[in-house]
Amino acid sequence: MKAIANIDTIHLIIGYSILIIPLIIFWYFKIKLTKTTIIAVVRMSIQLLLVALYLEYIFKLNNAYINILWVLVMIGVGISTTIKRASLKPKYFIIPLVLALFSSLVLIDAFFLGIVLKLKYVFEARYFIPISGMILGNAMNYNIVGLNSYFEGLIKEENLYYFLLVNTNDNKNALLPFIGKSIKKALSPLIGTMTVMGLIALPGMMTGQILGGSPPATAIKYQILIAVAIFSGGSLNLTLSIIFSNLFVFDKFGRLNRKIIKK
Amino acid sequence: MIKINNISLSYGEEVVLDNLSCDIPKGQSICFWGPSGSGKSSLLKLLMGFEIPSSGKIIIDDILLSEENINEIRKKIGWIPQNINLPVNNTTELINLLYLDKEQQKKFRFYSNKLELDNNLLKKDFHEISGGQKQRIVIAAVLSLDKPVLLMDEPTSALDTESVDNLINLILKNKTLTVISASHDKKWANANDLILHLDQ
Repeated sequence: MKAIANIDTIHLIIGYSILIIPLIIFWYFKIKLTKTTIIAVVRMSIQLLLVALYLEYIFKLNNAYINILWVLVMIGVGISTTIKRASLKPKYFIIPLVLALFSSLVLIDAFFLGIVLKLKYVFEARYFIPISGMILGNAMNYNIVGLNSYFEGLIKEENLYYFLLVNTNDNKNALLPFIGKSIKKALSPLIGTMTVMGLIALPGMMTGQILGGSPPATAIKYQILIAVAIFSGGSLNLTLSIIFSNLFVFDKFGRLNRKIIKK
Repeated sequence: MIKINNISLSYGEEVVLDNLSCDIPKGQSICFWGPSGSGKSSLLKLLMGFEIPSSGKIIIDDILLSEENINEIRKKIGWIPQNINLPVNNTTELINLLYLDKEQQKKFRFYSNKLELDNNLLKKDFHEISGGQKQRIVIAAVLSLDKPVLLMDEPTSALDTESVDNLINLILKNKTLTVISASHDKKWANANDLILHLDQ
């Protein structure tokens, strides 16, 4: 297989120029997204540049402690982004979300890296960091949608919650419709993506692997496992986030603290 | 027997209930009567542990309403809220949400019949039926839970005169139920064994 075509700096800059299309669309339709888009692209570029530098260094070192520390930093950033974007108040959610994400990641990583990929050294940087990163990034996105839907639903449809709480006399029964709705809303897009994967969309990871020189059959196997890991990790993390958060946001009478969401 | 002893409730500086006491014997009905803002609904919420009094205590069948006993208390209570616009699409969904077992579903059919809800109506989506029909479905579902104490907030708000009569016969004349309601409806209030007047 041929080596991947390198992108030099000039062509990288030329590549950026295609962004002119969305920027013209924003300008023409007076959509106030220009500044946000530019900031996002600049941030993405700097972050990825730094990541490339770090990863090169980290991959060379391949030290378990440093790799774990790297993943812990990703967990921290993921939690703070989730709390901010789901409009939640940090003091109620930091502990439950850290516990949920950490335990989900340990379980999914141990299963896929240890059992499925049969790695002798599960902290091997080139597997542990990117796979954990993909699981974390996706789990964060599902949590933002899921937690926002769950707590907004509880506040908006409080009368249903209290109706069920008294009449079924069971906190779990009273929360089930809200939990179900939230998990469905968060995970449905991925179920949709998996349904059409390979038909109308080629996943980024698989494409990257093929461009990097892997045979398509290997790239596809990795892609399948990653999709399954992301889905399982995302659903576990969201469920645990809800279960752990419930311990912090209800009082002993089962009353919801309405101050948990930022207005 | 339900005992409300020297209950006070405030929202910030606004005093909603001030040192209120009353006893409600088993199998009796009581209607909290008063203008909007007089604390009728708040009193119902206190009985379910949704509001916490600033002083006083509530005892239901010799059980003190407290953090430790709240589940025991709620086991005894059926709750029909004022806002019947529950985000539920149809009767089946409501029955599933309340986890009605086969025996309770039989009872639901019995109460539905008493409240003049026919099978065709029970099959319809809630957006296709009137507020009064929906209110009667919720009442039939809660009654089928067979709880000894029934709390109702404005139970007749969406009902016509005939349905109010049916409800009075079905609920207030049933002496196995202790019924506590908050209402603006004179006919309903007068059909209760007791009326508690609350002033603003």
